Amino acid sequence: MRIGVCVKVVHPRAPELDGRTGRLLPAGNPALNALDRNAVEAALRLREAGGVEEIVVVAATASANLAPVREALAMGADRAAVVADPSMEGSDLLAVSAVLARLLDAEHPDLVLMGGQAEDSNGAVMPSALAERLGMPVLSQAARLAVDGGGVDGGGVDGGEVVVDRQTETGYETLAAVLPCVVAVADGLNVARYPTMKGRTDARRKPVALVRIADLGLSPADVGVEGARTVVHGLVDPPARSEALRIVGADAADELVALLVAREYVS
Amino acid sequence: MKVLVHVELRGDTPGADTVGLVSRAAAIADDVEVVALAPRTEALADALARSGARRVSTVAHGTTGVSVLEASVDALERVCRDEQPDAVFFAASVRATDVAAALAARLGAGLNWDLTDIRVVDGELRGTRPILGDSKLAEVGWKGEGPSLALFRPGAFARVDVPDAAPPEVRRLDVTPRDAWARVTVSEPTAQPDTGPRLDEAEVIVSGGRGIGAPEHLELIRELARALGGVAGVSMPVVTQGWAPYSMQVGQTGTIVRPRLYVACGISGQLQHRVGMERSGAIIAINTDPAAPIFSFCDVAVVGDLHAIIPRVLELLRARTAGADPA
Repeated sequence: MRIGVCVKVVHPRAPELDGRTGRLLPAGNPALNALDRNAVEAALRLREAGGVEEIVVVAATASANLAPVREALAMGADRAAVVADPSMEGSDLLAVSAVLARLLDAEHPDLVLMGGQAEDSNGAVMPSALAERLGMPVLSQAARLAVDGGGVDGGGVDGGEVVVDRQTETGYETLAAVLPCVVAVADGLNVARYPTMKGRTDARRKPVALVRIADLGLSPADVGVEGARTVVHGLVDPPARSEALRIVGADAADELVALLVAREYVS
Repeated sequence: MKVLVHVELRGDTPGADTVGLVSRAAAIADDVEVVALAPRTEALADALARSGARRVSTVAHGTTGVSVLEASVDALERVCRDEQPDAVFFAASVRATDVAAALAARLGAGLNWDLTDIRVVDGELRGTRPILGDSKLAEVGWKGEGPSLALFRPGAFARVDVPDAAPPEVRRLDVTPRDAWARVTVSEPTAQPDTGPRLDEAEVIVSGGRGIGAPEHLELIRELARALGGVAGVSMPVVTQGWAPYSMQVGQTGTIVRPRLYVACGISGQLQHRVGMERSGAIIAINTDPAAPIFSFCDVAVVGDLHAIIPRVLELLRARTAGADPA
C-alpha cells in the first residue's frame, strides 16, 4: 500500500493585507501545520504495522522555504512531491485543492492522510474538496483509525477498507469506506513523534521533487489571486466590549444573586 | 437575490443554527429556498417557513447507514444548476463543512468560512470573518462564476420569526442515487448518553474550567446549571485532563455556543475558549485572578473563589425558591 500525506506549510500572519494579493501578509518563519504531524504519525504507525511500501508527502506552497516538508521527512516519510511557486500566493481552496489533487493523482496513493484543519486558516474544508477532486470518499475528523489493507500486494490494494471514529458535535460515529479514500485526522488520533537527530540527517538526502504548475496541466491563471474565487475587501477592528461590572469581596455571592434576580435570569 | 440554505437535520428537525441562518437569509434576500435530505417534510416546512423560507426542497434519502455527504452534494449541485441561486449558505458543523467544501470543488465556486455575518453591499454579498484569534474582522467577498458559498460560525444568528409567513412551497427533488453514495457506511452514532438539552441549543450555560481543581467539583457546576435552568459545560483543559467528556466542551475545538446567559467558573479565558462563547448574550465570569483574560470580555466580573461563591449562590437561590430568608 502507498500512502500520500498532504501537508500544509503554514505562516504566521500579520494583521495587515498585502496590497498585491489582498491576503494577510506573511510574518515569521513557515512551519509544518500541527495536525499534519498527526497525519504523518498515522502513516508511520500504519507502516510499522506492516503492509505499507511507501509514504509520499505532497504540499502546495508559495514559500521557497521547504523546511516544514523536510520536517515530515525527518519524522520518517520517504519522499516528497511539492509545488513551491510564488504564484501560489493568494490561492484559495479551489486552486490549492486542484494542485494537491493533481500531485496525488500522479502518485496513485491507496490512502490519503491529512490534518483535519490548518492552524492558520481554520476552515477544515480541504479534505472534502480534495476528495471530491480525487473522486474518493472522505472520512473527516478521525479520532480513531484502522486500516484493513485487503489484498495488499505490490500492485496496490484491492478491497481494502478504512474504519474511523469520527468526532462530531454530538459525539462519535463510526464510518467505514473502501480504499482508496481520504482520511482527515483530528487531534485526538495520536501523539506525533519528534524527529530524531538521525531522522533529520536522513531527511536531507530524501528526494523532494519540485513540480511546476505547468507540469500538472494547470496555468498560472488557475492559481494565485487570479484563480481565486474569494476576495478580502478589508480589515476592521471588532467592536469593543464595554467594561465589565466588577463584584469583589465577602458579599460577592449575595451581590451576584441580587444581580441575577434584577436582570431576571432567575424568577 | 436568491439564496439556498443547506439544512442539516437533528433527528426530524433542523438545528437552531440552521433556523437562525434561514432568518438571516430571509433578511437579505427576497427568495430563500431550503434544501434538505429528509424523508418527511411537514414539521420541517413549518419550522423553516416561520423563519422566512419560501420553498422547501427535499430529497427522500431512503438508504439508512449511508453517508449523506455525496447525496447532499448531488442534491445541491442539481438545484444550483437548475435554479442558478446567487448564494448557498451552510450552518457549519463537521458534516456541513464537508458538504460545502465538496460542492465548492464540484462547481468551481468560491467558499468563505467561519463567517459571523453577511449583508448585501451595492448588490454584492459581503461576509464578516473574524481572523487572527478574533482580533480583526475581515470583510470578504466572492468573484467569478458560480454561487457564493458560505459557511457560518455556530451561533452566528438567532431565529427571527416572520409575521404572517405564507405556507412554503414544498417539493421533492428527484436525485438519482449513485454508487458513490454507498462508498461510506455510517454506524449508529455512539452519541453522548446525556439526554438533556444540547449545549448549542441551551438558553443558559454554566461552564467550569481548570479552576474547579478536581473532577468531583464538576458537580458544583452541574448544580449551578440546574439551579439556573441551564446546561453544564467545560473548557478544553477539563476534557484534556479526562474530567469530562468531549461532548461538554465549549470552545473553538468543541461546541461554539450562544446562550442568553453564560456563566464561566474558574475559566481563565484562553482564545480557544473565547471563540466558543464570546457571542453569548450576557457573560458572567467567576475567577480568583483579577487579571484573568476572561474579565476583559465579560459583562459581570466576579473576583473570588468559585468553591466559596457557588455554594453560597446555590444556598441563596434555594432560599428564594423556598421563600425563606437565609440570613
